[in-house]
Amino acid sequence: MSTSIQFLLSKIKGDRYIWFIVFALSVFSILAVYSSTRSLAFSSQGGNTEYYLIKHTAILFFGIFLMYLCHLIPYKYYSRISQLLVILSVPLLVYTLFFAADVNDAARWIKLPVINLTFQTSDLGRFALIMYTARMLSKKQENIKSFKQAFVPIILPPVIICALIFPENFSTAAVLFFTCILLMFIGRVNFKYIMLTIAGGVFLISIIIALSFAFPEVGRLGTWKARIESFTGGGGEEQYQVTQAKIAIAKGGIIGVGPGNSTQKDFLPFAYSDFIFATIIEEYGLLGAVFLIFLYLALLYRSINIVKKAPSSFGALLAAGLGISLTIQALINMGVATHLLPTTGLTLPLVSMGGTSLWFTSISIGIILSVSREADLNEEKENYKNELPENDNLEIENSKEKKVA
Amino acid sequence: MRGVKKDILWRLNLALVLIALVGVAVIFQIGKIQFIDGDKYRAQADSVHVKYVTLNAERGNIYADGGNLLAASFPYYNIIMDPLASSKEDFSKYVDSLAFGLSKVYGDKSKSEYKQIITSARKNGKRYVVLYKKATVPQMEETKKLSLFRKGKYTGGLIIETFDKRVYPYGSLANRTIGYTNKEGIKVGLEGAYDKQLSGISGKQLMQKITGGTWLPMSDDAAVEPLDGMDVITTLDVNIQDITETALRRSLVKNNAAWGTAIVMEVKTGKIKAIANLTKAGESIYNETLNYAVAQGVEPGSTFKLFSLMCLFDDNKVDINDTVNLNGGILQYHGGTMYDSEPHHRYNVSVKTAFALSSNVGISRLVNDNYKNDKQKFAQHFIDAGLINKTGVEVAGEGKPVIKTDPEADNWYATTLPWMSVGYELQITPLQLLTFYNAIANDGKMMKPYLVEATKQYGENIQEFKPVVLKEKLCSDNTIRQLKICLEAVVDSGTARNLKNEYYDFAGKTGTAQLIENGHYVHKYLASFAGYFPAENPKYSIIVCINAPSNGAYYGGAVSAPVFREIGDKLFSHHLGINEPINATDSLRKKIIVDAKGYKYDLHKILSWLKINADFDNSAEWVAMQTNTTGIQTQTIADDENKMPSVKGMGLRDALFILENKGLTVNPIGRGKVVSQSIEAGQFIQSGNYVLIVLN
Repeated sequence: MSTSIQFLLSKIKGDRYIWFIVFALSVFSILAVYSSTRSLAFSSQGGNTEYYLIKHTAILFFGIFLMYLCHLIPYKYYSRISQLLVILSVPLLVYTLFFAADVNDAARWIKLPVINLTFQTSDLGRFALIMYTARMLSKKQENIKSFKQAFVPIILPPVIICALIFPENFSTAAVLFFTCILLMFIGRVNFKYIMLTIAGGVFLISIIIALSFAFPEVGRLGTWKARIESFTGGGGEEQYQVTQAKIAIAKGGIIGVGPGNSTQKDFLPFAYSDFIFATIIEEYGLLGAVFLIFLYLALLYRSINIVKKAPSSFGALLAAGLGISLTIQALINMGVATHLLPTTGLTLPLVSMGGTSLWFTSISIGIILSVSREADLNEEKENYKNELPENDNLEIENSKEKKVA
Repeated sequence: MRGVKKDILWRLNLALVLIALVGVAVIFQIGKIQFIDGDKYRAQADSVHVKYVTLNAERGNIYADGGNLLAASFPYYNIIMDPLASSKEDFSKYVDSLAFGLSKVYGDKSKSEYKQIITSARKNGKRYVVLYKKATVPQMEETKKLSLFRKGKYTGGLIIETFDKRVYPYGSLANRTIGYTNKEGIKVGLEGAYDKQLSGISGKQLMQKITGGTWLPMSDDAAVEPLDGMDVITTLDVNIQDITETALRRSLVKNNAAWGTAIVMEVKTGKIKAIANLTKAGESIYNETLNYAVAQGVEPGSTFKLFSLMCLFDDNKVDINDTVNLNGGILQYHGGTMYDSEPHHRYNVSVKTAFALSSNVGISRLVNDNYKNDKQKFAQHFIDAGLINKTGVEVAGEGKPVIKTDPEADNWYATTLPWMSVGYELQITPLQLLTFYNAIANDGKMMKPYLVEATKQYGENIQEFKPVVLKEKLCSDNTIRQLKICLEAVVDSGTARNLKNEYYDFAGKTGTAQLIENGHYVHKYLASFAGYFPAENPKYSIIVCINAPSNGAYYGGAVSAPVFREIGDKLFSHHLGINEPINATDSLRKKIIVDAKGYKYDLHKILSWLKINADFDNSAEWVAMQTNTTGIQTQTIADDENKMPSVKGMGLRDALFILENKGLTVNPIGRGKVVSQSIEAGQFIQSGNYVLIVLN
């Protein structure tokens, strides 16, 4: 037994803490999904509650397998891949905008032929964009403060992608755009321009809100209006799912009612995805929630920690960007479930049920681990060759160093 | 450029702190919900419970041949609304058109009344408002289409509760054969036999309990829709059944008998067209309580002689014109004395005459003489004819024939052969005996008796039952010919000659079997008659068995044969279409129309078919026809919401429809047309009032 664990440990590279976080989140995920799909199982699987357990566990294992594969790929390749994905995501997003399948009132999904999987193109867009922004930021470091040389080429892809996601999925677009701006700040883009962009964004959102109240019948404007109303309490009584989520949270108390003992999941729409955090609080209490938040923050901390030893600025920004993106998504999901934020439709990364969204998360973590793996390698080398002259050019790639070695 | 990394690092740390602050905010928010608002939300949780309720499938109907409803489930619906289900915009946008629609569909409240009910309920946070009780199917369907309700249960707030009521439109007619099922698991008759098909598959719905103790269906997708039960189409003919039951009842009352049964079967197919079972329940009162026709094994007595004759003819032992010595009506056998029903002084008569006079001595002597050395040969005929088997009719509880087939067995006595030949020392049900008679009428082809023609679901045939041949050829054509001559002789010159008529010929055999009580034969009899008609080309075979008549007459020819004759007469005139049409005079027509009362469009259809002009210019749906000097006119009935309408003269279906639509609880007694109603016309009524209507 112990030898097989040792064998496994010898196979996995990268930050051990991140692997542990993945393991802990997976356990949470399986428990919470199994518990919260009960009513779904009764309505669509004839009461076969194991159906979703088995399906979800299989999806999760495949995700971890993808994570493993991705962490073995040298991260430099992701630079070029990100470019391809961004180019690919544009037509897909355009297609989604006009022809997508209608899942849960939101036309955000497209169906992949042959393998018959539906996925949310905005997931792909987000994933591609974060990596691409990291790439652009690292490429433009030399004159990063310039408006024309750096700011414009860096801000352009987020503007295009978010503009394409935005009509059908306002919240995802807003969160993504905000994440990109944060990355630009971290990547040392001129603060002046960032502030201007934020001001522009706020202005745009205000217009949208005004429009949604003026023309609620156009597209999804009505949904946004309803969500804003329900959040601010403008729509009269509290929205059903918000009340149900709050009941769940209140019932959970400090230590929770125990795994599988929650009852609110039967009343809570999307108890297995958007509102899974409420179910987790009901079953594991405030302590469980604090632990879960700690896990995500720890994931972010470990991702940032890689930067200290990252061999290149691209690696640093890639790991930090993906880590930030995941953590922000997690906290927004939690904020929605606890009614700190209006309903958005973002899943809890790695915990919510849902195939492709979970796989994008897995791949993201795999990429972080890939950076981490090479950073470790780099550190070893640096320790070994600590007499080597300071390498000011962060752009030098690993392979070149190998030649030197 | 170490500075670059450092620069990035502090920015990252700043981001980490900011994001961590969001995490802290989430934790604070959880704390706020748990500790500050906790009691409020936990209180809501305590009032929430969840359960699965069964959604009953609608039970299928039982139809007579020709589509008359014998047993039907009338679903009715309670229309309920959760006014808080819809969003604020939807509600204010649609509430007016919804109230208008409801008022139009139900007509019991005005638009503003409906609006008032719904809006005040929403204001007061009520999530369960009964809009209408006992809505009909079309009303329910219309309601579903109303503006707000179109959006579905979850966002529209429409809740429909379904109830089912089992109704037997023909009352006690064929009651026992139609049967019933009850909650204790007792399953009787066709309702019992086809319970599985009729029941359908129930669905389920997740319900939640909300404040105030009401249960609310959860969401549309938390439900498994029920699959409605199948309809059962029987072979029974309502008119023949009515004729049969009436004739049987008349004889039972007249002869003060214990019970009686009568079955009418279609010769060519084995379809049971009528099956009546009446048990004495009081002075001159007979109810359908036990299914004698199918379940009760009886010693048939003389009607069984037909079988003995068949054996003799088919084995070429005798010919109808051969002579048999009746020995004056008394004959000593080893172990017992055989008597004819009454002493006579006849000696040498033909086989045909011996049968027509129903001589026990004659038939038993023929059988005993011809088979005493080869008893097995006689016994084998029981097996060959399938008489030892059940017929396999659909309803539960068919009696198994008790017939000895082993001459070597201990229970085969010296008396067994002669006594069996005249229908004793064996037991067989009336239906089994009729099946045999029917085979003779059908030229030797024995048909399986059956009651169900088809099962249907949503109008589509699920299973169709065709006539089943039990035995292709029971005996030779020559035997059939001779047997038919003998059966005709019974009516022509034998024990049933008093029933001969000039319109049609029928053939049959009387039976007057002595009953056993506590192991001894007593002076009580089973009077029976089995036969078929018309004698040429038989269409129906009929058996009538009457147990223990006690008003003097007890012979099959006197007690049961008249029932046969009465059924035959009516069937002959109604169903065989040979009768002269009655030339109805104008005044007679008017008389009929004056009495007509019911649904305007029905009446209009009938009258136009009869080519009678009448004035149907009336806005009401329910009218009574009236004749005066100017012609035939309609008069409105049942128009005032709160007043009792006159349903006198209506059929049960119309009367029930009108009265139940007014929310009355109706208890109908009898059958035919309504002759009296417990609440007089014009009285004020309220929903839920109880009314008794008597039909005759």
